[in-house]
Amino acid sequence: MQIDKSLMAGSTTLLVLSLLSDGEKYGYQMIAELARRSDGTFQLREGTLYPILHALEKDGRVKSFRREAENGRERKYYRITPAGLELLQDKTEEWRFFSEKVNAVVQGCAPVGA
Amino acid sequence: MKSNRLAFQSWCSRAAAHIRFKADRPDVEQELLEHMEDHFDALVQEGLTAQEAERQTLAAMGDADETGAALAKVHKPYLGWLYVAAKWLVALSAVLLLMVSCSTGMDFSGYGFPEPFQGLATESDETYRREITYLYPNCTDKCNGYTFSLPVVTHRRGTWVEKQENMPQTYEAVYFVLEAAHPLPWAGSPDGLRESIYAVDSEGNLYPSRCQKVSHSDYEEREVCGNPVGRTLLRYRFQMWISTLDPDAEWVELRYGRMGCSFALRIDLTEGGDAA
Repeated sequence: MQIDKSLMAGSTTLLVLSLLSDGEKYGYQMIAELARRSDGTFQLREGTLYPILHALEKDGRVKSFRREAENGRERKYYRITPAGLELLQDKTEEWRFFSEKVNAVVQGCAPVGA
Repeated sequence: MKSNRLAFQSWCSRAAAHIRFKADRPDVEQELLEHMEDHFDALVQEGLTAQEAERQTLAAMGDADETGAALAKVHKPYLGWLYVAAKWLVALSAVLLLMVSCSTGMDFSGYGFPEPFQGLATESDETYRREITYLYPNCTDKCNGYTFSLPVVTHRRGTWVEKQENMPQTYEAVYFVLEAAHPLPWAGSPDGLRESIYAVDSEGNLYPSRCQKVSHSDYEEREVCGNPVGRTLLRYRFQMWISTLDPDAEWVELRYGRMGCSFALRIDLTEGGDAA
């Protein structure tokens, strides 16, 4: 099932921070992990990942550094900072609250007996 | 497997061209290119042909202009220049700090005074004796905002026997470092110091500046000479010497007078210093 792009756009920061919360990653690794965890549902246009990462870095939510990847090539890695973890917590709570309310409304509108 | 870098490079350059702060472009381009290579390699490993892998990689990246416009919003030129300016400011402060710290903790051990008795006697002369006394005159004087002092003074005495006439000979000189400190780093070196400095001793002898004298003959003349030996942020230093000192002199006074500014620094030659 394809997801509406605008739904994705609102949650990319949450997704990116979540991907980094369990360890440092470089760009393609994040895209591959996102596809794996969502069974291929979340297919971000890959170019758009970088403005998000760079903006997070400018805000001090992530920190980048270069080091050798498992394929022997040097890659630019991103690591979540304590400020990034705080933002992740806020975004997660916001998402839970939002999805709860959306669910409540959607379920409330469901046809009787459905 | 090697990707077709040209198509990827072109996509990355197009996206990066939106960034107005040019210094950020190469890093962004490289990161995007690395991403495309990683995606390409993963697709080839899955069994796709290079051509198909390249097509899918480019398609997955999306629109280069859209990505570029989003990157341009993050990499704003004024932030970039602010960052560059801040870096220069930090570097400049570090250099200034280093210069100030050097100017407060000067080490004079490195001063190599020339041998004052050169030409008169050498150390190979078995009758030659050299005596060096370090003096600490602890005197300062001020003029035109400069504070003049003598951080290092050595009184040197050489004795030897003239072989032809079997006559004992003595030669004395005072070697010193003259320091001119000014609170303003841009004050410059004091005007005409070497030309206008002279010395007098307790016996009434005058030791003119070498620049004041008509002839520059030899060491038998009484004179004050010297050269600048460098500066730190707030201090200028001159390595100088008073030649052919009268052996009877109890003190010698350095004097300077130029354009309404004068100073006098007296060196007591009788005080017990450290012999070396």
